Amino acid sequence: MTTVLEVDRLTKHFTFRRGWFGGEGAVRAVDGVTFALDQGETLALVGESGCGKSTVARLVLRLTDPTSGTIRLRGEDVTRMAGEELRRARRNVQLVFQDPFASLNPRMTARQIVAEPLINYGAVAEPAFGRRIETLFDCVGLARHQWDRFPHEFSGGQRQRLGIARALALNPAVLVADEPVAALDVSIQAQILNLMADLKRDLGLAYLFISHDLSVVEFISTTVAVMYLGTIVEIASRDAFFGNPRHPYARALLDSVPVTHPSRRGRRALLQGEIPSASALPSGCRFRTRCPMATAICAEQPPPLEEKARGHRVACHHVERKTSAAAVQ
Amino acid sequence: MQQPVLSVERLNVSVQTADGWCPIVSDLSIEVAASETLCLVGESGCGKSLTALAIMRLLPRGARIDSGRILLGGADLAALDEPALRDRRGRDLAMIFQEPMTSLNPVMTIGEQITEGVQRHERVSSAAARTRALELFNRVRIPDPQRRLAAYPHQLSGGMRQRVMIAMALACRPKLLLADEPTTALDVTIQAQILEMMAELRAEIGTAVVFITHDLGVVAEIADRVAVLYAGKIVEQTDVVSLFDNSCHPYTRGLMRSIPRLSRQAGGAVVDRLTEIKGMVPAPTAVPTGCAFSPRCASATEQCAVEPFAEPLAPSHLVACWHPETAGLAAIPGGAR
Ligand SMILES: Nc1ncnc2c1ncn2[C@@H]1O[C@H](COP(=O)(O)OP(=O)(O)OP(=O)(O)O)[C@@H](O)[C@H]1O
Ligand SMILES: Nc1ncnc2c1ncn2[C@@H]1O[C@H](COP(=O)(O)OP(=O)(O)OP(=O)(O)O)[C@@H](O)[C@H]1O
Ligand code: SF4
Ligand code: SF4
Ligand SMILES: [Mg+2]
Ligand SMILES: [Mg+2]
Repeated sequence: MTTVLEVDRLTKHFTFRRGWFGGEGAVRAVDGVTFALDQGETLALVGESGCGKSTVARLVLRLTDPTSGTIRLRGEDVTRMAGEELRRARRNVQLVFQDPFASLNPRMTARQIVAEPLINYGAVAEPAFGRRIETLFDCVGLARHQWDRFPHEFSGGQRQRLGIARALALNPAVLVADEPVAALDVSIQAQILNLMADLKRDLGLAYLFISHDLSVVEFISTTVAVMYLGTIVEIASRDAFFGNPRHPYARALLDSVPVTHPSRRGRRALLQGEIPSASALPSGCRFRTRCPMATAICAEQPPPLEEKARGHRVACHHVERKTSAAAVQ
Repeated sequence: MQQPVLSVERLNVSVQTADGWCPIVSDLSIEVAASETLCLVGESGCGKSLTALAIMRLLPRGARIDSGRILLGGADLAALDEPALRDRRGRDLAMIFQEPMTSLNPVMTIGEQITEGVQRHERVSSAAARTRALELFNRVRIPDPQRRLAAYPHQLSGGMRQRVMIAMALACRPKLLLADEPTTALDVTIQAQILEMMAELRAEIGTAVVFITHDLGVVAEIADRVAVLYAGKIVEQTDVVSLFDNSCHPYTRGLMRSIPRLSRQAGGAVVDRLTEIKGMVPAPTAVPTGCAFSPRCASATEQCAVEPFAEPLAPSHLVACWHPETAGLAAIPGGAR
């Protein structure tokens, strides 16, 4: 399989002043994130509000510069690219927004919106141009009579289809989707999720899919990465993750998902406490202030992200390696 | 059911549009008993918040109650004047909003806001009101409550603010609590804490709760009974177990099938495709005549050009549909016609 996106020890710190005389503080929004995304794969980034998911997306799209680390797109290091070179590289990674309405120019018709990137990049000339537009609208299921409408004449779901058509216009290798269904009605979410699954299969895309909804993530992903306060605490294939989540935070996250039937209500081991601020991180393991398993070492040393079973990496002092656990028994 | 605390009878609410008043909520009738939680579920824009605001008599400009009765403790709130309503809000009924920042005063400390709320309805000293506030903070598990009372709203996290809202809403032990998507803006781990806490407090205080949400998972966690809204009308209303086991309205059934579920909860493998409800949610100004769901409904017939009315298919299971899917009901005593 070809790796289309590789991110290595990616870091983004935002600095701010603490009051008038307080000196500089820093928000470690993304703090050493490493992952690889293969063609045909969907890597889901999950985690609670403020853990750095959107910042990873913005870094990958090169909308913001990393503090350190590297980003490779189809093998090419794009971390420090600028100008024309960056513009060319950017064709390969496109964004699907959470709020389709805010992301579409209200004064352009659907057709103009989809055509814009093609024109900007001089990507397709007539007569193929018209066919390309038609294919894109077909792909996302928008009918011909809708091409000349303006964004406000579309429903939320249709606007998201339009946003996806525009993102696909330049044949990107990677689609970054930041909460693409969170703003949609429940009865419309399934339509868009099915569409995204179909497109990935038919066009051989790769998705970096950001969501806080674990049920959605299980449906769409092939790999899951759980973030907590700027770092990945667990990364594994979908089935390994949902079958056997290892990190205490990942387990708590799954336990917090509302039940699917009233008969399954009951007391669960709920997490206590609030998420610490990204500008005042706890020492050692960042999860220790809420972790039911924390011990002294957790306050002293940050746990490294280690392989605990094949392809299943976890950052926790108290999660045993599978092999060593078997050896003890 | 016991004597209801709240009973809403044929409530109609409309909003002002460029083309005049447009009906949003149509003939909505619900009842909630003490210690009971009724969930109102429906898509965005179907009129959930307006229903709650109408019950509070806090409708914004450009929205009005056209008709209907809102009976709470023997009085019809729809017929009361503003001074009488002000006296009842906070004491008899209270509301929690989705975004607590909009309903907290940014320039007053949390403590001042709670004590003021208590003193508006009860003749107690500030010291006693403050003690009450502290008690409440402990109850909603706000850590370090003394310090939190002196904080301003922006100094608290979203989850903490929502706890403060709940504490304020419950300060005078209201008979009725309206909760409008109180956990939608929160993370799942915090949502789980808040839902658990609300269930405990409801049992303890005996408050009747109307809980608005669009999340069927939250419904499964917290509801006793559920009313499903589509385009401003209740299409199905029943107890929570029947809703999940024997829903009959094509929209409810479609909704149940379309949401992804965790395999570890649902049991079985992850599905390859989700079952879609085709089409889109109608705009309030363009609701189809007859059954509003008919353009999206696989069971629609000519008869559906006439609006269906709510009928009981089983004791306290109301469905507004000409062709309900009742297969699951036949097994229930008194079920199906
Ligand atoms: N431009 C910025 N300047 C300063 N801090 C920022 C900036 N952008 C993000 N942050 C901070 O970085 C952290 C990560 O933010 P980010 O938006 O990536 O989180 P997220 O995981 O996408 O959250 P959400 O689920 O709420 O969208 C947060 O603490 C946020 O406040
Ligand atoms: N003050 C107002 N003036 C005009 N129209 C309004 C007003 N308030 C609400 N509406 C309209 O009334 C309809 C119902 O609104 P409401 O806020 O009750 O929806 P909702 O079911 O709570 O949706 P959501 O799930 O998005 O919160 C919407 O179409 C909305 O645009
Ligand atoms: S390292 Fe310690 S505090 Fe961190 S998750 Fe593991 S047990 Fe909990
Ligand atoms: S009344 Fe007809 S259109 Fe409406 S939900 Fe029932 S079968 Fe479908
Ligand atoms: Mg984000
Ligand atoms: Mg609302």
